[in-house]
Amino acid sequence: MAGPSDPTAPNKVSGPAIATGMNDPSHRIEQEFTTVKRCGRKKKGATREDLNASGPSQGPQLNLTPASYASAAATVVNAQQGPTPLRTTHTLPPLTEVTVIRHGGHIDNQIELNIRARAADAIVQEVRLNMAKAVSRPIPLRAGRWSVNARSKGNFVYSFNGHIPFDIISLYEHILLSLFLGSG
Amino acid sequence: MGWTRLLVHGVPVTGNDDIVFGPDALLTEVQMLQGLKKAYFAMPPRWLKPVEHIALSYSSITFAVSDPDATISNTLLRGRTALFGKEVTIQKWIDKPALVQCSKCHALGHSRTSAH
Repeated sequence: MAGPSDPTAPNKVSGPAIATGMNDPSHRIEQEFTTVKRCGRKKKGATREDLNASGPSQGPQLNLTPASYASAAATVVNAQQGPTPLRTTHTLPPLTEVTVIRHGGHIDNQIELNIRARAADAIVQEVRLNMAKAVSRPIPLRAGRWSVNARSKGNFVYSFNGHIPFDIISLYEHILLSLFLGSG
Repeated sequence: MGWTRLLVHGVPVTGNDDIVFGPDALLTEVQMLQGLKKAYFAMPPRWLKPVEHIALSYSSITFAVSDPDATISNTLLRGRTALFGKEVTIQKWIDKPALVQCSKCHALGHSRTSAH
């Protein structure tokens, strides 16, 4: 087993190798990392020198000096950048949510318990049915939910497809609130 | 493959009249989803389980639509979707290959005829 003072022994711990004060960078890198063949894939821990040597797809390395950098910059100053690739932006369908604020619910506790015991989808189905009876083309009510849970203050959230102005929704107020028996 | 099969969880089984939603009601409701109004259904919506075996208020349905460029399935999988007034969860149907087991050596992946 080689100790940290032996410069020829492989060592995975980087601290002692730096502490020995070796100035040769290649020697230092060899001691800091364990060289593992990865079939050309870049992996964590691979050094830049290793990648340049083994990567067949990479071009030759350019060592820029101030003079060469200035000439390279001068050649690309008028270069036209290619068109940016089109990003496929996926937009979600818009929704409109309206909350029925119930201020604690109905005065009668038994009636309030019956209201809150109803499933949200059952309320929505009945409201949709009532809207379809009232008008030929009702606003697209898609879902509904109790605001938090069954033991909340009893607020109910209606969800509509698309952007629907509130003044249009308020035209259906009597239908949307009918199942809450005037407590919303 | 030009069509996509989807699985929808959490669909209410019955309406307010306590009648189980049939194939027509399912098709009408599913066609109201985004992008499915004019889509061709390779398999119309149906309950995943036999209706007589559904004991809960919510269950799963499955259907297949013609979706060559996957726009319909992407929209449904990423967006919020609701059926019968309830938000539902949609996922792609994953076909599980039939399990082949050798009756001679009990190994998986081949039948008896190819066992050594």
